[in-house]
Amino acid sequence: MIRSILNVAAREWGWMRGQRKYLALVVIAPIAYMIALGLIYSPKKVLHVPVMIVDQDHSRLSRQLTTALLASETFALGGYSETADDFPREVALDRAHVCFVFPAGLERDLLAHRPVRVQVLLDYSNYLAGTAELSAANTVLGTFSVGTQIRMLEAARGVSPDTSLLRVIPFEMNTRMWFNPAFNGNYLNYLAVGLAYVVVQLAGLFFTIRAGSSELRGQHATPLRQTESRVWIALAGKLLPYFLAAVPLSIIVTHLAHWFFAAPQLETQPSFWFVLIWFDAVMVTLGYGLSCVAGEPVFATEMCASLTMPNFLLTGYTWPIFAMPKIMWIMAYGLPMNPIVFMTRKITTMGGGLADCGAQLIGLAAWSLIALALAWCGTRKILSTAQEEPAAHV
Amino acid sequence: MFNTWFQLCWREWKRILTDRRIVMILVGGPFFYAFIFGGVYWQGRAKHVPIVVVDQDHSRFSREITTAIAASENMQIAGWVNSPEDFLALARHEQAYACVIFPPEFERDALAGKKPRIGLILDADNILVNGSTLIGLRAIVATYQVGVNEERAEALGLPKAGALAASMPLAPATRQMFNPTSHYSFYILMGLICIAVQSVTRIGCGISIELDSVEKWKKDFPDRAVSRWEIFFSKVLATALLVLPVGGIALMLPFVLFGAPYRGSVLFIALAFTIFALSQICIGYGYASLCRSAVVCTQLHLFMSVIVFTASGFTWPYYAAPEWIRWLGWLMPLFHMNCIVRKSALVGAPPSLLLAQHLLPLIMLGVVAFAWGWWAVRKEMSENPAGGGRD
Repeated sequence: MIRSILNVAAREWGWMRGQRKYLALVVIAPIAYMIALGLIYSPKKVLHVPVMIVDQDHSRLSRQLTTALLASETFALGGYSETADDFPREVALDRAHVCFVFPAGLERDLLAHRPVRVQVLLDYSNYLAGTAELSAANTVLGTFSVGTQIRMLEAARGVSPDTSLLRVIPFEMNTRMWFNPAFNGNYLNYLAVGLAYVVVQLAGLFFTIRAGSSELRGQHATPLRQTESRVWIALAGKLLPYFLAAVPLSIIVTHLAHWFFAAPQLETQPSFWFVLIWFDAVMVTLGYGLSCVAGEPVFATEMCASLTMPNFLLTGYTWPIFAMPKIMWIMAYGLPMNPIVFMTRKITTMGGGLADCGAQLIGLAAWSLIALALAWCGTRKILSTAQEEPAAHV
Repeated sequence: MFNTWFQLCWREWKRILTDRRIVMILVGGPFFYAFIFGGVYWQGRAKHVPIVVVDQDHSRFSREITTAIAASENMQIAGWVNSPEDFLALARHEQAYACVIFPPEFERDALAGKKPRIGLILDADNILVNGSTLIGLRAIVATYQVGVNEERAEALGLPKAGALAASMPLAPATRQMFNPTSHYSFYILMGLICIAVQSVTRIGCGISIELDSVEKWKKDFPDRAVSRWEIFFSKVLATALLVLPVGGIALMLPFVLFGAPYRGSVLFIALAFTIFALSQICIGYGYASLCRSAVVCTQLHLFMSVIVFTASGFTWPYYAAPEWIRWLGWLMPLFHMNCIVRKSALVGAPPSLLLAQHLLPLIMLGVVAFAWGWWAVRKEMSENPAGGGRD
């Protein structure tokens, strides 16, 4: 039995080696993808956003505030202007994406104990940049506000700096970030794990996307039935070489961001290897099944595209599933990428185990059955075609 | 003359519309992706993030802050737990994303001026979810801090206005311009549709050119010699007449169906989209000729789509990216198209501002794409005389 499987695998391996162009793409593209992704997100945070300063006060305070804002790594000076009306134009020309307006009388009002407002205009046409800008602006101005308040209390009441600090901040919030301690808008740490599975999935599917159709189109030198005619032996033998190629590739791809770009990853556990290898097996089987169903590789690739292209956005990895309309939940939970990204997140980032992945395990098991059913039917079709038309394969 | 071009285009339409592989991707693709993406981001904000509360104080103050959290649109109270340790299991099962802890004697210490601390544990795995949770919680805590300071200042004999000034002397008045509700869909949807149109156009054109050949043209037009220029132009024209309405409608969906604001010039976007679509058709032929296989070409575009979208600077802001990425983005038609759509629709930038900055580069890249497409069609027609695909 094992010999039969190995015979079929050897035959498939021989055919696979002849498809160098396809193999090169499937192997090189995911690695290149991860390196490119790491390089794009290498700054890790939104930095040096150009800032427009509208200083209508020209006071020591406004200059101090400007210095403090520009000392923040999030901001870089884009230019000065007399009025905030120029801001939309500066945004359109990419010369500024944040604008701070220090109104006339800022310092005077503050010294007179009148509340003052610094206007902050944020370009929210880019949500990610806008959120980072908002957070940095609040931090700088909040620190300044507390400092001013402490000085006011010290001056007015004659209390010590420690006491005035206690009075200014009656209670505070201590924040602890679990699972991603370097949170603070670090996009590489957050996205790399999930985006790696986009290509792991594509590579798994594309490895076998021609394996079924090539049999049906008689592209092999010898028909499958001459080697072995039992469905499950033929199926195991056909998938084995692709699976053995897909596993090391997926290991490399899922670890590249960790190795080269210092994305955090908890020490890998057996449960991680288990789900990764299982996912590879499912994708390789599914690709083969779709290849058999479609009957030709272009259509099969398109079927994969419709399954994989919206996949990442639908998984809930970035945009949470609870924030999607209920009707989209079916797709979100139903697509094969949802189980793997959440299981990986739970195991490698949250330090959990398979016991925490109940729903995801069911999802991946369901896809395993679908993939296996498609592959089984496809192999039966191939074997019956080969028996009916042996001449076509010569 | 018109009749001849109509016949040439008609042949191309027939090929595209009768081949399930091409029609599915070229005509169905943009709508499929537009509705999927529109559906995902329909709500626009990550509202009602489930959080848990550990109230070890059981005081009026801790209950007030909890009520304020529950009243916030950003969060919802998923439950109360006894200790922060219980949060770990809930986070791993996606039942809670944050945990607020009120320590024992919180109210008493606050009243005694001992500066107690509210604990906040965040599942920091998802920046989008936790960014909004953190901002929401910080706002609530800051409001209470200011309130407590104000009451103290009033107790010291300051009038109400003076008490407010003393409790918050320098406050930022933040205005989120161009997308005041921080709606995620307004920001991202148009970019996603542009990348979807790009991908499906390139894939569809790659398959289409792979299946065509000089022999097939000769067979379809036995009475006249069709030059390679005519083949190229008729292919581009016929494909554009399909891609433009389909892609155009898909691009309008965020504004018409999904409620995104539109402040720019429709004609300007239509012009930019026409140049963009024509470029993508030519680039699709170019890639097909390099790959020499419709399967490899399709797979390459699928592998590239995420990277191209990321490098185009639509999500990760290009002005905060390394210099070389900005240059790379500048060389992509997608970057200029995305900038035109976003700046025109959301920022309301007039065409005069975008002309030199984005439209002219888009036209220049279009000319390069046109030359590449012409080279590719010529090559394909010579090297693949029989057509029918090499896969």
